[in-house]
Amino acid sequence: MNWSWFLILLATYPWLLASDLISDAMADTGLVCFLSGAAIVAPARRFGRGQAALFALCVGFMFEARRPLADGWIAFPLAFAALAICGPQGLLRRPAAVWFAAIGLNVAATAVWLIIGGAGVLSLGTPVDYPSAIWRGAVQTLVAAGAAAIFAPFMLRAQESLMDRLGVPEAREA
Amino acid sequence: MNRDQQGAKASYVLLTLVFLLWCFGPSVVRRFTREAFTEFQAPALELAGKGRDLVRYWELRSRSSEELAEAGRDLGRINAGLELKLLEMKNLAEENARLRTLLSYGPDPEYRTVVARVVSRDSAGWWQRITIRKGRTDGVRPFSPVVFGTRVVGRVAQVHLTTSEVDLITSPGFRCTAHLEGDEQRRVVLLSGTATGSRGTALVTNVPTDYSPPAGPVGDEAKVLTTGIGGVFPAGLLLGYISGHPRTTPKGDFKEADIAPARDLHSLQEVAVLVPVYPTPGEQLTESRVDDFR
Repeated sequence: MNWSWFLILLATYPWLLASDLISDAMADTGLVCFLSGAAIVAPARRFGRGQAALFALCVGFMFEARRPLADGWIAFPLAFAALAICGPQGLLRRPAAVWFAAIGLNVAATAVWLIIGGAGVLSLGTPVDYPSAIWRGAVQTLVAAGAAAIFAPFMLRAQESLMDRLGVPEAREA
Repeated sequence: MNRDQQGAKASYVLLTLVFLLWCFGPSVVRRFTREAFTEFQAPALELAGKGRDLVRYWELRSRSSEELAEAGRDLGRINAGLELKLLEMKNLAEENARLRTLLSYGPDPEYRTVVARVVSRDSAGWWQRITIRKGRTDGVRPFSPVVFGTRVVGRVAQVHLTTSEVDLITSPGFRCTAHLEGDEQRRVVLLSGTATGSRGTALVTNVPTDYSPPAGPVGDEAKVLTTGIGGVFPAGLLLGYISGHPRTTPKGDFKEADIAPARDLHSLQEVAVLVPVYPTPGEQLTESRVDDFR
């Protein structure tokens, strides 16, 4: 196994850090700028299954590391999603399809961490205002979709160009 | 089924097995992974925090010398007042120590103050946290109180090598006992963070039904103060203010009220961690449990 997945991870990290800094600026609103879901799409469509899964696991662990979420419950769903993307690569050859996949996956991953976070809070026995939680969850999902829509094209382009330089083969036809 | 489909199936099975191993395997692996990924991100976060400090430094450098002289003069006046207070406090501390000796009371918990810059704030519906630029190497310990002046900000949730994560008082995991201003009997109530509202709120429960906040001018709400019970938070720190009038619980045996934090928790630049000098009762309990296992 070569180390191109790790180099792409290092190149992707500034985007994840930027999303953390945006979350910091948005802390007053109680919203998180989440990009981890969108970050795995471009590498997953070009890497082999092993590298794609490792890359997605690392991206997931990085999000979980500083947050009160159950260990592995974002990382493993992202890894399964990466394996799923490795399959129908033909679908993800068009730039528009990649962009839509990034938005879709970012929204799905956001829904996962919202559910995992909610389960963690309920396990503490903390009172939860359900209407407010559902409303905030919906807004957070929209924010995740918006963040992916805005930042994904630039992030995907940066990842693609590095993969070209590293000689990672283009996605195969389905 | 072609080879590609077989390979895909095998990778799903393998990943499922890894996931099961991850879930049911030793927790030390999960802890190590979390710690490794936090430490991987720590230098970048530290750099971002220092960059922010640099911006602030250059902003302060651009102030005129008249402004600085005025600020220095104001600080001088405040210092003169504080020196008198210090003397007063010293006399009170000596008197307190004498009375404690007379009554055979144990000593008050002592704390070492570690001042830390806030690196980042992370606030979602399910958590409100800040990351500070002090960690294990600076002596920060888990569950240490985090304050700003005499106001409680939160409690250290996780400690890493050079950074720590702090659960704010509005975070759902936060709990502590409190006294309410205006309650002559100083009955103990429970404060906990709640998962509601975009900025997070805290709720005070177990409020006696006969309690009503002291009447005062609008905007002068009743204070909620720490009790010092449990040895985590020193007594008398300000947790927040009662927001609105306490409402009766559905069972009718107690009242509860929302709490407005004493400080805008998302605009903090610097906080102080109160690290207990001696092991807290919780730490002693954990140590004795570890000894039991040995």
